[in-house]
Amino acid sequence: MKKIWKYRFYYYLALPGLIYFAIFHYVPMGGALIAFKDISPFDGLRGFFDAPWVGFKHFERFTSSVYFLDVIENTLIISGLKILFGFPAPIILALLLNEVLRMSLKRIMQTISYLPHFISWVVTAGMITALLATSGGLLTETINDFTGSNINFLGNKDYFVGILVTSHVWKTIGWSSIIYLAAMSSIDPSLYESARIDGANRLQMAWHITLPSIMFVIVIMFLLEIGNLLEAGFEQILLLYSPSVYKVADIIDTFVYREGLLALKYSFAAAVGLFKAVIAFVLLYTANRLANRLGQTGLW
Amino acid sequence: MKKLISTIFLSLVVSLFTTSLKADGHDFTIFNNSGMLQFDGGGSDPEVLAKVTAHVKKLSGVTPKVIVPNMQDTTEQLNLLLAGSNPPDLFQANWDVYKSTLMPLNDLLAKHGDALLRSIPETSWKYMTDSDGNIMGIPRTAATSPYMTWVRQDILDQAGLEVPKTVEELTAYMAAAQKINPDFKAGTRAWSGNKWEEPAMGFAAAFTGAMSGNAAFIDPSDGRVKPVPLAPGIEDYLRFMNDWHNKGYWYPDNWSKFDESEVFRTCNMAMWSGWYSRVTIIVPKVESNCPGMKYVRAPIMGSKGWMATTRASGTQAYVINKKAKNPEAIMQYLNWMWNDQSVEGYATGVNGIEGDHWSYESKGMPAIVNTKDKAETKYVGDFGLPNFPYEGNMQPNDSLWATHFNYLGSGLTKLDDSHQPIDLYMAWDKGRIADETPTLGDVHRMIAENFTAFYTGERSIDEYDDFLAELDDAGMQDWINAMTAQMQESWAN
Repeated sequence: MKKIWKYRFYYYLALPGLIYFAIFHYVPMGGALIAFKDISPFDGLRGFFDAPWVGFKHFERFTSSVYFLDVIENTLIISGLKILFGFPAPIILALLLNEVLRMSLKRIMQTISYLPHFISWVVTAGMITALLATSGGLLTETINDFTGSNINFLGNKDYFVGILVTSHVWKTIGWSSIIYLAAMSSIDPSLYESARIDGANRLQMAWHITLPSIMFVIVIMFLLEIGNLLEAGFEQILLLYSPSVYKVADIIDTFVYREGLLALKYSFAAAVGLFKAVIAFVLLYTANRLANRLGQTGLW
Repeated sequence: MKKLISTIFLSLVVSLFTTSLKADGHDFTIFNNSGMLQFDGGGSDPEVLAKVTAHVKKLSGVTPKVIVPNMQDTTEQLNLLLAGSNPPDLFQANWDVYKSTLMPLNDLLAKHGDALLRSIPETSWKYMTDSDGNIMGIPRTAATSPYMTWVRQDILDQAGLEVPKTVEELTAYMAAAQKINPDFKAGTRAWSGNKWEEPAMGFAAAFTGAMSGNAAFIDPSDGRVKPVPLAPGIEDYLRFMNDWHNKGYWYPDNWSKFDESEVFRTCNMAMWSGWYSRVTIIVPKVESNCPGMKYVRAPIMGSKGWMATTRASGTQAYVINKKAKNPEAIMQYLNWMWNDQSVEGYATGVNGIEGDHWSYESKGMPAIVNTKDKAETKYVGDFGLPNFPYEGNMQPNDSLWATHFNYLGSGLTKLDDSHQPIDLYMAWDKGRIADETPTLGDVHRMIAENFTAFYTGERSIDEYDDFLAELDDAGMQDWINAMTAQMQESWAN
């Protein structure tokens, strides 16, 4: 208690953040109860208390859907591929940018790489459609001119996931590299000087000094990515998919959007949300334990 | 000291509360999800809007406040608003889906709705009435034939053909069009999730016969209501679609992301089969780039009758929230908006202040009005609530819109060259169907996904029986039971 009083000003500083998390992140957790009720969204708070308990009905409805395994598989594949290609990409970009000596060039490259982050998915989806439409699409028409084949990229299962992953990497690579660049800026320059005296080239310095020095950030970012494994990019997919590619593109979130939100089955949507949260927690916990066992810094 | 702080705090809260009430002195709120603001999501200039609001108050006697839709999916936004602490008082919705949140309008209509009762066709009111006789909404539309096939007169002239009347002649037209220009293709809307009314009531109907709003038919063998995958002739339809796909007549984008406006802009759309306004609204805007391009309506006859199906006015309605504090003001407003003697209310809601933003070219019913560009007036029609066929009473003196408004009063209501569906005068309770068919979403997805695969040849039509077995596994029988039960109840009543 004495310590709290002694450091009270630090606690005052933390208070707004704590209140924010309490109000917007912890109190709403009570709402997860509607996953076990049959609630009408229009009954407001009264419905929250009065609606009948239905046990695991909505969870059973989700798991008994003929598309349950499909949407789980699609979510994991799309998310996994995004991590596989999208996670190392900003690290590589940061390493490359770190090697650029001319500051003006470095800043221009950084600015260009950050720009896609500020373009909304609605606009990005419009750009992708304009590029890939079979009638008038810039890329499609160019390919057609050279090969004579008119490929329906957005309606083809073989290409669709590739389009999702590529556009995801393009949109996130620059912005995600910021944190790695920040971590690199805190590396002691004497380490590089010593390595240079010992005859290390730039690749060796990047491999033996830069990467190990930012490893703690990489591990933390990776753990956070694992926690988001079931977030495969709802907005991006919703704006680009169609029945032609449901088989590879329908993820948990798009399924819930159609079945839960548009059909006003909020309890069902909440049940799937809770299901996702539990899986995400298990994944995060496991990955964190693994990181700790391997001697890396974990989230806790 | 404590008392002083408490007093100051309470005074602050009270003054904030009263200030907000004073600043926001409206009688009711409208969530304008009618489509009026579909392309003007930012709403009007606040100063102009304030002037129009005062003008509306002067003319109608009430002050509405408009909530402008700002989410891509207005249904989702409506649901979120209704679940919130300040739900809108007036909005557009299918009353059968939102029934639990709505107020019956019988008394309000009797007291304040004389003009709008006269304005709206009697048949449309039938769809607004539940089994207990409660009128649950103001009809948004009337029976129409919106899923028409259109071909191009300029292509017909070049090919020396007449407007096609049969499926075979339509195929010959497409073959001739592609001989003239290989880029000429056909556009339509695909089956998509639960939005499959258009293909079912359009192209498919020529092969399967009339479909209802649930894309269903009555099977004469057992009298049950069944969905279109079970309709006799459906395999012929799928083979036809696949044949056209193989011949390269369809735009491949029809089955993925199809930006209709952009495709019309290329001047290569030789045939359009789908929602009429693509032709009546988009074409006038792009035809200056396409010399000679002229679309004509082509009612097509197939083996099972017309290719188009009459669309029942359905349950789409303007509805009043049961929590609305001032429902009489709302009805007063609607009675002014759709008055049978004058378009003053409607023209004001859509265009703004008479004199400043629009003027009469000729008064009467219909009236012809001169309008200014919305970018110039900075009023985008926040208070406007479109209502078919009432909106045909206000015809803009504008060549870009003339085609559309002329069509509203002629081709759209021409029902003698389309099928009459089984549910033309029946309001389905789609919410109940969804409740009684827990896996309806799976069934919808399966149909959309597999029909697309049949079109493109990704799945062979020889596997159609397997597909039906998969539908059964997904819960199609529950759907049939739910629809049949409602149809039988409707007949019993």
